[in-house]
Amino acid sequence: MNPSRGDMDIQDRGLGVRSPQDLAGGLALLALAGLALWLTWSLPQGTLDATGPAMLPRWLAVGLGLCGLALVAGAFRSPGEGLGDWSLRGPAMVTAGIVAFALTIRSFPFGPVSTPGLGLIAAGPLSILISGYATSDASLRERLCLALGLTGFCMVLFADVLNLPIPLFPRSVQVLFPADWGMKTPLRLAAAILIGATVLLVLSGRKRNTGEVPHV
Amino acid sequence: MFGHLVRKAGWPLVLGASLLALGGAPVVAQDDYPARPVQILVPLAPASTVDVIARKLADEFSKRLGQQFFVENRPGAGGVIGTAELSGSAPDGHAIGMISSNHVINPSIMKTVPFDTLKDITPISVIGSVPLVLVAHPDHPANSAKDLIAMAKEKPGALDYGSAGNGTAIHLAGVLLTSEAGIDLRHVPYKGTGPLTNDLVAGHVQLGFLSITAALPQLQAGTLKALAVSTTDRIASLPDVPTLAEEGLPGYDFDAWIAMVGPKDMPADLVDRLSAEIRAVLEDPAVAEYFAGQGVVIEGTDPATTAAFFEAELDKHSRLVATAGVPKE
Amino acid sequence: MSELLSNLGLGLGVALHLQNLALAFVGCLVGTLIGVLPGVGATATIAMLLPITFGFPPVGALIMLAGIYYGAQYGGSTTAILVNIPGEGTSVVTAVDGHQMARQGRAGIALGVAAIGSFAAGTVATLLIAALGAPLTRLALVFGPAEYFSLMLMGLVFAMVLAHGSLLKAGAMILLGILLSTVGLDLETGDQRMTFGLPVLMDGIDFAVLAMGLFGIAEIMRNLQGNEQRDVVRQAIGRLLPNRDDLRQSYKPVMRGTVIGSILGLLPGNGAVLAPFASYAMEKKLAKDPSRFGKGAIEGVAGPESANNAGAQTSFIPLLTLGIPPNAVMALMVGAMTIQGIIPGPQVMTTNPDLFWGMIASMWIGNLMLLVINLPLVGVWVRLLKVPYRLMFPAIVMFCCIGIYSIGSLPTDVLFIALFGIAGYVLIKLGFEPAPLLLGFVLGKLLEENLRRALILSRGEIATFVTHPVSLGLLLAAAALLALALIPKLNKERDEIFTE
Repeated sequence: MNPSRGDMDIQDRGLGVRSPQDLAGGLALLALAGLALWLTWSLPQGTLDATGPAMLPRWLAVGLGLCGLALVAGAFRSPGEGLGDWSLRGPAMVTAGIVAFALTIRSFPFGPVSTPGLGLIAAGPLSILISGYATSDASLRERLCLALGLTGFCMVLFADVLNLPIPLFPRSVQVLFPADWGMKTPLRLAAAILIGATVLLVLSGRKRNTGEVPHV
Repeated sequence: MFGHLVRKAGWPLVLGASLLALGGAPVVAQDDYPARPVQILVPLAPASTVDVIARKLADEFSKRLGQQFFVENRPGAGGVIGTAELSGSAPDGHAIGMISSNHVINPSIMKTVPFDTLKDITPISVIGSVPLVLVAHPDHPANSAKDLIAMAKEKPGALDYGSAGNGTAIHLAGVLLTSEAGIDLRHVPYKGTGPLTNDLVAGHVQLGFLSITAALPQLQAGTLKALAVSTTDRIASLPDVPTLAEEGLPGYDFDAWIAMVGPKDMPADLVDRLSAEIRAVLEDPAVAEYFAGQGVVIEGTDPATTAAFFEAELDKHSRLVATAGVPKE
Repeated sequence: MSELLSNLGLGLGVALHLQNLALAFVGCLVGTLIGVLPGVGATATIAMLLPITFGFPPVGALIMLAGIYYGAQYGGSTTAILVNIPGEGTSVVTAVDGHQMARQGRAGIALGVAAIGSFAAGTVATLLIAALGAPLTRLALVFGPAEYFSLMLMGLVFAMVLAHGSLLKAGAMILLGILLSTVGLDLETGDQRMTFGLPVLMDGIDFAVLAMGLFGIAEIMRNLQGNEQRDVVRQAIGRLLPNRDDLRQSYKPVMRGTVIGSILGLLPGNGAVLAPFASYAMEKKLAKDPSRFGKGAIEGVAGPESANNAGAQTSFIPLLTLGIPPNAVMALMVGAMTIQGIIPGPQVMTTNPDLFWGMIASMWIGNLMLLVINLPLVGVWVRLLKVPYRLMFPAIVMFCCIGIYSIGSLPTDVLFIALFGIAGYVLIKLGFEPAPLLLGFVLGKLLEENLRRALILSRGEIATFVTHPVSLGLLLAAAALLALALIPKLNKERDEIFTE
């Protein structure tokens, strides 16, 4: 995918391509159809009386491939749209934020390596801070306020109010809590600290009066 | 643009790295169990029988042991995902699990299971068994299992039976029926007991095994009729329904079950204690009544019996699957 | 008639009991909350709240759980309209025109029409359940695998109508959607299909994961692209509630949607998912100017939302009259009933009339409460859109991550929303619409399952689909609909080629 700005205008560049968007779309469909055919290669198709696991996927993949061919053919015949603007920063940083959350929320084996289980208290702020880099608009302080405040809010909302089983703290921290604290006390304490920190951040930002911190 | 980005992103990376270090620290040393809330992993969906039983036990254990026991569902891949997580947990008793007969069926129907069915868990106790009933639409010509077997022998392959999916206990109960009676029935898989019950009541599929809880209301309303039960003894709630063994299949004995297990290498004293606690809980008549309402016959085996039982069941189910000719994938 | 009135009277007597009213309110409130939070499903939350209901009397417990269920249905539409994340199959359609309305500063009107339409549909559906529940159930039992397959095929035709761009591309997306739905263990043989050997893919792709990626995350990625970033949903907010003109435009779609939803909701095996699509297809066909659809047509929100709510309501019928749960949430309700010592089955109506009629009456009260809770909230939601996008999108990203994680506690699900987000971004850029893909995905599983089941039961006789009269009727209707959808478009495309 080309990250360059401006229309990728292949329309005038020979080759006879009149609709680059359809050409790319058709090729993408052909690739997907090929992948599906390859993945179901070893599975039996069966008969109508005893349908096999590959029957429907294979028909679908063939249909998808035909659609792809039709699009490719059409791209040379009738005029259509160009490929338009593609940006890399937005998708890349949003993806990075989500991946950071997935890799830190709880200990999970990915093949031979296991991810660290840091809980929401780390995964939440990480996802906001990293995905926040998708634009250049927000200042670091602003993003930090959002990260801490929302994490505190979400801890109360998801784990306390809705009672959903979301890991909140790293394992090594969890065992340090006294036995008689139960499950809710540490979470409420942490949420209070996070929200308190956010308030402090916002207030100190205002005092300095830099003028660049907008009202949230 | 990217250089700038990395510089700006630098400090969260440092923060992240230090947090990673925190997450890895190991945990041991428990003199007085339970030292903190105990997680009961249920590798099946919420509101499944296993889940309901686990939640009841969690309540009872919380009362008896003075620390919160809480259920977490980790459904997926026939229980493999949740059980894999359990087998990798610390064996200090703060993570225990509740499994079903799926556990011993999976190795026979799946190409790979990421843990050893017998060695990577510690058997604690078989809590109870779930008997099944063979049912048919009220208009079906067969009025007993004997009729049914005779009909099937006359026209091989003409009758079909529904199941809750390939390799489920309900499916294997049907496989055992075909192999014990030497008959040919066509298998029609459904996605769970709900759709299966629906098509049985509507008469789209002719036969099927159901748990007592799913079958009983339909039997009482006359929308389904019972042909036989799967266990060697008759069931208290269906005293008039004969067993398949009585109906000419003396070797027929099948039920699903629910058991508590721990991660491998759990200390023996801890295992014994939990197993004894289960038996104490099951002695409470209120609990027994509750379990009966869920179609569960209470067992409460000790750890040694449980281990031997798992081994025997693993063997039995692998033979059944081989008979059914289910592809191992 | 007098029996119906006395039954409803009994039901209202139970439902209006102070404790039950309070429980219905709490249920609707919690339901709305989890519906609004992207990804957090009614199934997971009801499962977590089950133990809390142990302490309540059975009727109260069930009323609260039912409240959560329709609250979640309704709340899901709010998220679909505001941030383009459909939480369930049934709100995909709402996202299409609803979010366009929000982008044009008409979020309040979309939300208001959704609330009012849902209430009207809920009222009608409740009366229908009370009057005709039992006889209708017997009708629904006619639907076997062959009929179901034909119905799903008809649903795919709706997907063609749903598309507003090229038919070829819409068709490709439907095929891709069905193809994605076949990922996972084969129900019949147990083979792994297209799983790359990953255990997390053995049960297939979760709808919420796919929808959140293709719609929600892809939408963020697209909005972040320089020039488009500023005009997103931050325009002047406009009126908060629909005015008389809006209501005049919507009342007919609401009525039609209610009828469609009530009928499809009855079918066992989650026929309700088809309701909004069918309603949308109908409204688009009936509209004077179908080109407005997909660009913020109010009928495209009013009809499907009513159909959705009516379907959600009537899907209780199989549960109440047969004791058979048509979907995962209903299965939880069965669990809740057995925990309470009530075995749901065909006899509940006679053995526990107060429970049966109490629940039916509480459905209507629940709908009223949803209206009361949600109309004032419209203002809050719309104000939320004023938060600058640079702060809004990281927050949405985090809520999506937490929500999707809470479904199955799987970090891999979180990774998949990123993957599908990128896929969705590429699809949009290549001119493909994600809505037909999602419909193909939703219907694909039912389609394949019933196709193969019908073939087993008929021993490989493909004629089974035309020898069953209901199935034949549905196939003919599907063919007619397809012709209706294709002919004008083909004519247009041919004209375009010639004029060029």
